[in-house]
Amino acid sequence: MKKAFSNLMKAISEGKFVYTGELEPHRSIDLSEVESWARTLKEAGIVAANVTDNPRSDSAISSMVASYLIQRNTGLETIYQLRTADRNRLALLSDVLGGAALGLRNILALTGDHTRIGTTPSSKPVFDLDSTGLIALIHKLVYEGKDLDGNELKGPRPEINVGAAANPNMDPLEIEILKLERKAEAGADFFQTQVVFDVEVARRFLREIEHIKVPTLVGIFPPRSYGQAEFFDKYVPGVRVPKEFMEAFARFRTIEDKQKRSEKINEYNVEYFSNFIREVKKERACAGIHIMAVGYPEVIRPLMESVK
Amino acid sequence: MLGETGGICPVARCAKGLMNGPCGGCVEGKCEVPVEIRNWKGEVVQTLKNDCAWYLIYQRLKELNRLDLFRKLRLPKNWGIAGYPRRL
Repeated sequence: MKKAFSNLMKAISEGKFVYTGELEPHRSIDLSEVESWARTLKEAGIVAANVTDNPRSDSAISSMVASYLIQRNTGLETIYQLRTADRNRLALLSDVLGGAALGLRNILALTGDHTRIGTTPSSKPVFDLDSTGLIALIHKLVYEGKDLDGNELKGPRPEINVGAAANPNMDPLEIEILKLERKAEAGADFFQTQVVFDVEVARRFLREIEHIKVPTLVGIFPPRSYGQAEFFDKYVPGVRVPKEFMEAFARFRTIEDKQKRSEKINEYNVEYFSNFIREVKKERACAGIHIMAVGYPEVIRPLMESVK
Repeated sequence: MLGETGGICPVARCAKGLMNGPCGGCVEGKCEVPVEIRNWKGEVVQTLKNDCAWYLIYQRLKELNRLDLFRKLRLPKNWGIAGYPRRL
Protein backbone atom coordinates (compact mmCIF):
# COMPACT_ATOMS: atom_id res chain seq x y z
CA MET A 1 0.00 0.00 0.00
CA LYS A 2 1.35 3.39 -1.02
CA LYS A 3 1.90 5.91 1.76
CA ALA A 4 1.14 9.62 1.74
CA PHE A 5 3.97 11.56 3.36
CA SER A 6 3.56 15.04 1.94
CA ASN A 7 0.72 17.53 2.38
CA LEU A 8 0.16 17.20 -1.36
CA MET A 9 -0.32 13.43 -1.27
CA LYS A 10 -2.34 13.57 1.96
CA ALA A 11 -4.74 16.08 0.35
CA ILE A 12 -5.04 13.91 -2.77
CA SER A 13 -5.66 10.78 -0.64
CA GLU A 14 -8.43 12.63 1.22
CA GLY A 15 -10.09 13.24 -2.14
CA LYS A 16 -9.45 16.98 -2.22
CA PHE A 17 -9.04 18.71 -5.58
CA VAL A 18 -5.55 20.20 -5.29
CA TYR A 19 -3.63 23.03 -6.88
CA THR A 20 0.14 23.13 -7.25
CA GLY A 21 2.26 26.03 -8.47
CA GLU A 22 5.67 26.48 -10.01
CA LEU A 23 8.67 28.50 -8.88
CA GLU A 24 11.75 29.01 -11.01
CA PRO A 25 14.85 30.12 -9.09
CA HIS A 26 17.44 31.95 -11.16
CA ARG A 27 21.17 31.64 -11.70
CA SER A 28 21.62 33.56 -8.45
CA ILE A 29 22.06 33.08 -4.72
CA ASP A 30 19.27 35.59 -4.08
CA LEU A 31 15.93 33.85 -3.57
CA SER A 32 13.98 36.87 -2.32
CA GLU A 33 11.87 37.29 -5.47
CA VAL A 34 11.03 33.57 -5.66
CA GLU A 35 10.15 33.57 -1.97
CA SER A 36 7.79 36.50 -2.45
CA TRP A 37 6.05 34.55 -5.25
CA ALA A 38 5.89 31.53 -2.94
CA ARG A 39 4.14 33.63 -0.27
CA THR A 40 1.53 34.76 -2.83
CA LEU A 41 0.95 31.12 -3.85
CA LYS A 42 0.56 30.05 -0.24
CA GLU A 43 -1.93 32.83 0.49
CA ALA A 44 -3.93 31.79 -2.58
CA GLY A 45 -4.27 28.26 -1.18
CA ILE A 46 -1.80 26.34 -3.33
CA VAL A 47 -0.93 23.09 -1.53
CA ALA A 48 2.65 22.81 -2.84
CA ALA A 49 4.90 24.33 -5.50
CA ASN A 50 7.45 22.79 -7.83
CA VAL A 51 10.94 24.21 -7.65
CA THR A 52 12.57 23.80 -11.02
CA ASP A 53 15.94 22.14 -11.57
CA ASN A 54 17.94 23.82 -14.34
CA PRO A 55 15.00 23.96 -16.78
CA ARG A 56 16.02 23.81 -20.49
CA SER A 57 19.52 23.03 -19.10
CA ASP A 58 19.90 26.72 -18.23
CA SER A 59 22.08 26.78 -15.14
CA ALA A 60 20.48 27.90 -11.87
CA ILE A 61 20.90 27.52 -8.11
CA SER A 62 20.53 23.97 -6.72
CA SER A 63 16.85 23.03 -6.68
CA MET A 64 17.33 21.08 -3.46
CA VAL A 65 18.69 24.10 -1.63
CA ALA A 66 16.05 26.39 -3.14
CA SER A 67 13.27 23.90 -2.26
CA TYR A 68 14.50 23.73 1.32
CA LEU A 69 14.92 27.49 1.79
CA ILE A 70 11.54 28.30 0.23
CA GLN A 71 9.82 25.70 2.41
CA ARG A 72 11.61 26.92 5.56
CA ASN A 73 11.22 30.65 4.94
CA THR A 74 7.66 30.76 3.58
CA GLY A 75 6.00 27.63 4.99
CA LEU A 76 4.87 26.57 1.50
CA GLU A 77 5.49 22.87 0.84
CA THR A 78 7.78 22.34 -2.12
CA ILE A 79 8.01 19.70 -4.83
CA TYR A 80 11.72 19.28 -5.34
CA GLN A 81 12.32 18.76 -9.06
CA LEU A 82 15.23 16.42 -9.61
CA ARG A 83 16.64 15.80 -13.07
CA THR A 84 18.60 12.66 -13.67
CA ALA A 85 20.57 14.56 -16.31
CA ASP A 86 24.14 15.26 -15.28
CA ARG A 87 24.04 13.24 -12.07
CA ASN A 88 24.86 9.56 -11.97
CA ARG A 89 23.08 7.13 -9.63
CA LEU A 90 25.57 7.78 -6.84
CA ALA A 91 24.92 11.54 -6.94
CA LEU A 92 21.15 11.00 -7.28
CA LEU A 93 21.08 8.73 -4.24
CA SER A 94 22.96 11.36 -2.21
CA ASP A 95 20.54 14.06 -3.37
CA VAL A 96 17.44 12.02 -2.56
CA LEU A 97 18.72 11.26 0.94
CA GLY A 98 19.90 14.86 1.40
CA GLY A 99 16.52 16.21 0.34
CA ALA A 100 14.67 13.82 2.65
CA ALA A 101 16.94 14.79 5.57
CA LEU A 102 16.09 18.45 4.92
CA GLY A 103 12.38 17.65 5.23
CA LEU A 104 11.46 17.68 1.54
CA ARG A 105 8.53 15.31 1.07
CA ASN A 106 7.92 15.46 -2.69
CA ILE A 107 10.29 14.82 -5.56
CA LEU A 108 9.31 15.24 -9.19
CA ALA A 109 11.54 12.83 -11.12
CA LEU A 110 12.57 14.22 -14.50
CA THR A 111 15.10 13.17 -17.11
CA GLY A 112 15.96 16.74 -18.06
CA ASP A 113 17.04 18.45 -21.24
CA HIS A 114 20.35 17.71 -22.90
CA THR A 115 23.19 20.07 -21.91
CA ARG A 116 23.78 20.79 -25.59
CA ILE A 117 20.69 23.02 -25.77
CA GLY A 118 21.39 24.96 -22.55
CA THR A 119 23.83 27.49 -21.16
CA THR A 120 26.71 25.03 -20.70
CA PRO A 121 26.93 23.17 -24.04
CA SER A 122 30.58 22.34 -23.37
CA SER A 123 29.60 20.01 -20.46
CA LYS A 124 30.11 16.27 -20.55
CA PRO A 125 26.52 14.98 -20.53
CA VAL A 126 25.49 12.30 -18.02
CA PHE A 127 22.38 10.17 -18.43
CA ASP A 128 22.98 7.25 -16.09
CA LEU A 129 19.33 6.87 -15.00
CA ASP A 130 16.27 8.20 -16.77
CA SER A 131 13.21 9.54 -14.94
CA THR A 132 11.72 6.03 -14.73
CA GLY A 133 14.98 4.73 -13.21
CA LEU A 134 14.93 7.52 -10.61
CA ILE A 135 11.33 6.70 -9.69
CA ALA A 136 12.41 3.06 -9.21
CA LEU A 137 15.36 4.17 -7.06
CA ILE A 138 13.20 6.37 -4.80
CA HIS A 139 10.54 3.67 -4.52
CA LYS A 140 13.16 1.16 -3.44
CA LEU A 141 14.65 3.54 -0.86
CA VAL A 142 11.24 4.39 0.60
CA TYR A 143 9.69 0.91 0.66
CA GLU A 144 12.69 -1.44 0.95
CA GLY A 145 15.39 0.78 2.47
CA LYS A 146 17.82 -0.23 -0.29
CA ASP A 147 19.39 1.39 -3.34
CA LEU A 148 19.32 -0.05 -6.85
CA ASP A 149 22.47 -2.10 -6.20
CA GLY A 150 20.93 -3.59 -3.05
CA ASN A 151 22.98 -1.56 -0.54
CA GLU A 152 21.01 -1.09 2.66
CA LEU A 153 20.30 2.25 4.30
CA LYS A 154 21.22 2.86 7.91
CA GLY A 155 18.43 4.16 10.15
CA PRO A 156 14.99 5.34 9.08
CA ARG A 157 13.84 5.26 5.48
CA PRO A 158 13.24 8.50 3.59
CA GLU A 159 9.62 9.72 3.56
CA ILE A 160 9.14 10.91 0.03
CA ASN A 161 6.34 10.89 -2.50
CA VAL A 162 7.57 10.71 -6.04
CA GLY A 163 5.89 12.33 -9.00
CA ALA A 164 6.45 12.02 -12.73
CA ALA A 165 5.88 14.23 -15.72
CA ALA A 166 3.30 13.41 -18.39
CA ASN A 167 2.79 14.89 -21.83
CA PRO A 168 -0.81 14.98 -23.12
CA ASN A 169 0.44 16.62 -26.32
CA MET A 170 2.54 13.63 -27.43
CA ASP A 171 1.71 12.45 -30.92
CA PRO A 172 0.86 9.58 -31.11
CA LEU A 173 -0.59 9.61 -27.61
CA GLU A 174 -0.12 5.83 -27.37
CA ILE A 175 3.63 6.34 -26.77
CA GLU A 176 2.89 8.51 -23.73
CA ILE A 177 0.33 6.08 -22.30
CA LEU A 178 2.83 3.21 -22.48
CA LYS A 179 5.52 5.39 -20.88
CA LEU A 180 3.15 6.34 -18.04
CA GLU A 181 2.30 2.68 -17.46
CA ARG A 182 6.05 2.11 -17.00
CA LYS A 183 6.37 5.05 -14.63
CA ALA A 184 3.42 3.78 -12.58
CA GLU A 185 4.98 0.33 -12.42
CA ALA A 186 8.26 1.90 -11.23
CA GLY A 187 6.33 3.50 -8.35
CA ALA A 188 5.09 6.98 -9.33
CA ASP A 189 2.67 8.43 -6.75
CA PHE A 190 1.35 11.26 -8.92
CA PHE A 191 1.62 12.74 -12.40
CA GLN A 192 1.93 16.39 -13.37
CA THR A 193 1.32 17.17 -17.01
CA GLN A 194 2.89 19.50 -19.52
CA VAL A 195 0.98 22.62 -20.43
CA VAL A 196 -2.44 22.08 -22.03
CA PHE A 197 -4.65 24.87 -23.39
CA ASP A 198 -7.23 22.81 -25.21
CA VAL A 199 -9.82 21.17 -22.97
CA GLU A 200 -10.43 18.43 -25.55
CA VAL A 201 -6.74 17.43 -25.48
CA ALA A 202 -6.82 17.27 -21.68
CA ARG A 203 -10.07 15.27 -21.61
CA ARG A 204 -8.87 12.71 -24.15
CA PHE A 205 -5.61 12.25 -22.24
CA LEU A 206 -7.31 11.86 -18.84
CA ARG A 207 -9.66 9.21 -20.23
CA GLU A 208 -6.79 7.29 -21.81
CA ILE A 209 -4.83 7.12 -18.53
CA GLU A 210 -7.75 6.32 -16.24
CA HIS A 211 -6.75 2.63 -16.08
CA ILE A 212 -3.28 3.55 -14.73
CA LYS A 213 -4.94 4.85 -11.53
CA VAL A 214 -2.29 7.45 -10.70
CA PRO A 215 -3.70 10.81 -9.54
CA THR A 216 -2.96 13.39 -12.23
CA LEU A 217 -2.58 17.15 -12.05
CA VAL A 218 -3.22 18.86 -15.36
CA GLY A 219 -0.73 21.61 -16.24
CA ILE A 220 -1.93 25.04 -17.32
CA PHE A 221 -0.02 28.21 -18.12
CA PRO A 222 -2.02 31.44 -18.05
CA PRO A 223 0.11 33.74 -20.23
CA ARG A 224 0.62 37.34 -19.15
CA SER A 225 1.20 38.67 -22.67
CA TYR A 226 0.57 37.95 -26.34
CA GLY A 227 4.24 37.04 -26.67
CA GLN A 228 3.97 34.26 -24.09
CA ALA A 229 0.83 32.82 -25.68
CA GLU A 230 2.46 32.94 -29.10
CA PHE A 231 5.54 31.21 -27.73
CA PHE A 232 3.43 28.22 -26.66
CA ASP A 233 1.46 28.18 -29.87
CA LYS A 234 4.47 28.35 -32.17
CA TYR A 235 7.48 26.99 -30.36
CA VAL A 236 6.43 24.50 -27.69
CA PRO A 237 6.21 21.05 -29.26
CA GLY A 238 2.70 19.74 -29.61
CA VAL A 239 1.03 22.52 -27.62
CA ARG A 240 -1.96 23.85 -29.51
CA VAL A 241 -3.42 27.14 -28.33
CA PRO A 242 -7.05 27.51 -29.48
CA LYS A 243 -7.61 30.14 -32.17
CA GLU A 244 -10.03 32.21 -30.09
CA PHE A 245 -7.46 32.40 -27.31
CA MET A 246 -4.78 33.78 -29.66
CA GLU A 247 -7.28 36.20 -31.21
CA ALA A 248 -8.25 37.56 -27.80
CA PHE A 249 -4.60 38.11 -26.88
CA ALA A 250 -3.98 39.80 -30.24
CA ARG A 251 -6.80 42.24 -29.36
CA PHE A 252 -5.32 42.94 -25.92
CA ARG A 253 -1.99 43.74 -27.53
CA THR A 254 -3.51 46.81 -29.14
CA ILE A 255 -4.56 48.33 -25.77
CA GLU A 256 -2.02 51.04 -25.12
CA ASP A 257 -2.61 51.64 -21.42
CA LYS A 258 -0.46 49.06 -19.65
CA GLN A 259 -2.67 48.87 -16.57
CA LYS A 260 -5.83 48.35 -18.63
CA ARG A 261 -4.10 45.78 -20.83
CA SER A 262 -3.03 43.63 -17.91
CA GLU A 263 -6.48 43.93 -16.31
CA LYS A 264 -8.06 42.63 -19.53
CA ILE A 265 -5.51 39.79 -19.75
CA ASN A 266 -6.10 38.81 -16.12
CA GLU A 267 -9.86 38.82 -16.65
CA TYR A 268 -9.60 36.69 -19.76
CA ASN A 269 -7.21 34.20 -18.17
CA VAL A 270 -9.47 33.79 -15.15
CA GLU A 271 -12.54 33.24 -17.31
CA TYR A 272 -10.86 30.90 -19.82
CA PHE A 273 -8.99 28.74 -17.35
CA SER A 274 -11.80 28.55 -14.77
CA ASN A 275 -14.00 27.06 -17.52
CA PHE A 276 -11.15 24.74 -18.45
CA ILE A 277 -10.70 23.60 -14.84
CA ARG A 278 -14.45 23.04 -14.33
CA GLU A 279 -14.46 20.76 -17.36
CA VAL A 280 -11.35 18.68 -16.55
CA LYS A 281 -12.39 18.39 -12.89
CA LYS A 282 -15.24 16.13 -14.06
CA GLU A 283 -12.77 13.49 -15.22
CA ARG A 284 -12.00 10.71 -12.75
CA ALA A 285 -8.22 10.71 -13.37
CA CYS A 286 -7.94 14.44 -12.64
CA ALA A 287 -6.78 15.05 -9.06
CA GLY A 288 -5.97 18.71 -9.49
CA ILE A 289 -4.33 21.45 -11.48
CA HIS A 290 -0.70 22.42 -11.79
CA ILE A 291 -0.57 26.16 -12.47
CA MET A 292 2.69 27.10 -14.13
CA ALA A 293 2.25 30.86 -13.90
CA VAL A 294 5.95 31.52 -13.42
CA GLY A 295 6.42 35.17 -12.44
CA TYR A 296 2.65 35.77 -12.61
CA PRO A 297 1.41 34.71 -9.17
CA GLU A 298 -1.33 37.37 -8.93
CA VAL A 299 -3.58 35.43 -11.35
CA ILE A 300 -3.73 32.35 -9.13
CA ARG A 301 -6.03 33.48 -6.33
CA PRO A 302 -8.77 34.96 -8.58
CA LEU A 303 -8.55 31.87 -10.77
CA MET A 304 -8.94 29.43 -7.87
CA GLU A 305 -11.75 31.50 -6.36
CA SER A 306 -13.70 31.64 -9.59
CA VAL A 307 -13.68 27.83 -9.87
CA LYS A 308 -15.15 27.30 -6.39
CA MET B 1 18.66 -5.23 -25.41
CA LEU B 2 18.50 -5.14 -29.23
CA GLY B 3 16.12 -8.08 -29.19
CA GLU B 4 13.67 -5.97 -27.22
CA THR B 5 14.06 -2.77 -29.22
CA GLY B 6 13.42 -3.99 -32.73
CA GLY B 7 17.13 -4.09 -33.55
CA ILE B 8 17.52 -0.32 -33.00
CA CYS B 9 20.13 0.54 -30.36
CA PRO B 10 18.99 3.22 -27.89
CA VAL B 11 22.43 3.42 -26.27
CA ALA B 12 24.13 4.34 -29.53
CA ARG B 13 21.33 6.24 -31.27
CA CYS B 14 19.53 8.14 -28.49
CA ALA B 15 21.36 11.38 -27.58
CA LYS B 16 20.81 10.50 -23.92
CA GLY B 17 21.20 6.73 -24.26
CA LEU B 18 17.88 6.28 -22.46
CA MET B 19 16.49 2.92 -21.36
CA ASN B 20 12.87 4.11 -21.15
CA GLY B 21 12.41 6.61 -23.96
CA PRO B 22 11.37 8.64 -25.76
CA CYS B 23 11.94 11.69 -23.58
CA GLY B 24 10.11 15.01 -23.75
CA GLY B 25 12.63 16.21 -26.31
CA CYS B 26 11.10 14.03 -29.04
CA VAL B 27 9.20 16.32 -31.40
CA GLU B 28 7.42 14.84 -34.41
CA GLY B 29 9.79 11.89 -34.30
CA LYS B 30 12.91 14.08 -34.20
CA CYS B 31 15.46 14.55 -31.40
CA GLU B 32 15.85 17.89 -29.58
CA VAL B 33 19.63 17.60 -29.88
CA PRO B 34 20.77 18.54 -33.40
CA VAL B 35 23.66 16.81 -35.12
CA GLU B 36 26.29 19.38 -36.00
CA ILE B 37 28.69 18.76 -38.86
CA ARG B 38 31.91 20.70 -38.23
CA ASN B 39 34.86 21.58 -40.43
CA TRP B 40 38.52 21.14 -39.45
CA LYS B 41 38.43 24.46 -37.56
CA GLY B 42 35.57 23.16 -35.43
CA GLU B 43 33.03 25.52 -36.99
CA VAL B 44 29.49 24.24 -37.59
CA VAL B 45 28.90 23.96 -41.32
CA GLN B 46 25.64 22.05 -41.26
CA THR B 47 22.97 21.28 -38.66
CA LEU B 48 20.85 18.18 -39.09
CA LYS B 49 17.74 16.98 -37.31
CA ASN B 50 18.28 13.46 -36.08
CA ASP B 51 15.55 10.83 -35.80
CA CYS B 52 14.51 10.05 -32.23
CA ALA B 53 15.78 6.50 -31.63
CA TRP B 54 12.89 5.66 -29.30
CA TYR B 55 10.36 6.92 -31.86
CA LEU B 56 11.91 4.54 -34.39
CA ILE B 57 11.79 1.74 -31.80
CA TYR B 58 8.09 2.45 -31.16
CA GLN B 59 7.29 2.39 -34.89
CA ARG B 60 9.23 -0.82 -35.46
CA LEU B 61 7.72 -2.66 -32.49
CA LYS B 62 4.22 -1.50 -33.45
CA GLU B 63 4.81 -2.87 -36.93
CA LEU B 64 5.88 -6.18 -35.38
CA ASN B 65 2.86 -6.14 -33.08
CA ARG B 66 5.22 -6.23 -30.08
CA LEU B 67 4.36 -3.06 -28.17
CA ASP B 68 4.52 -5.21 -25.05
CA LEU B 69 8.31 -4.92 -25.42
CA PHE B 70 8.06 -1.14 -25.74
CA ARG B 71 5.93 -1.01 -22.60
CA LYS B 72 8.45 -3.05 -20.61
CA LEU B 73 10.07 -1.25 -17.66
CA ARG B 74 13.84 -1.32 -18.07
CA LEU B 75 15.98 -0.83 -15.00
CA PRO B 76 19.21 1.17 -15.40
CA LYS B 77 21.98 -0.40 -17.42
CA ASN B 78 24.90 -2.02 -15.61
CA TRP B 79 27.82 0.25 -16.55
CA GLY B 80 30.06 -1.72 -14.19
CA ILE B 81 30.77 -4.17 -16.98
CA ALA B 82 31.34 -1.47 -19.60
CA GLY B 83 34.00 1.22 -19.83
CA TYR B 84 36.49 3.12 -21.94
CA PRO B 85 39.23 1.21 -23.77
CA ARG B 86 42.02 2.89 -21.72
CA ARG B 87 44.66 0.87 -23.52
CA LEU B 88 45.52 0.73 -27.17
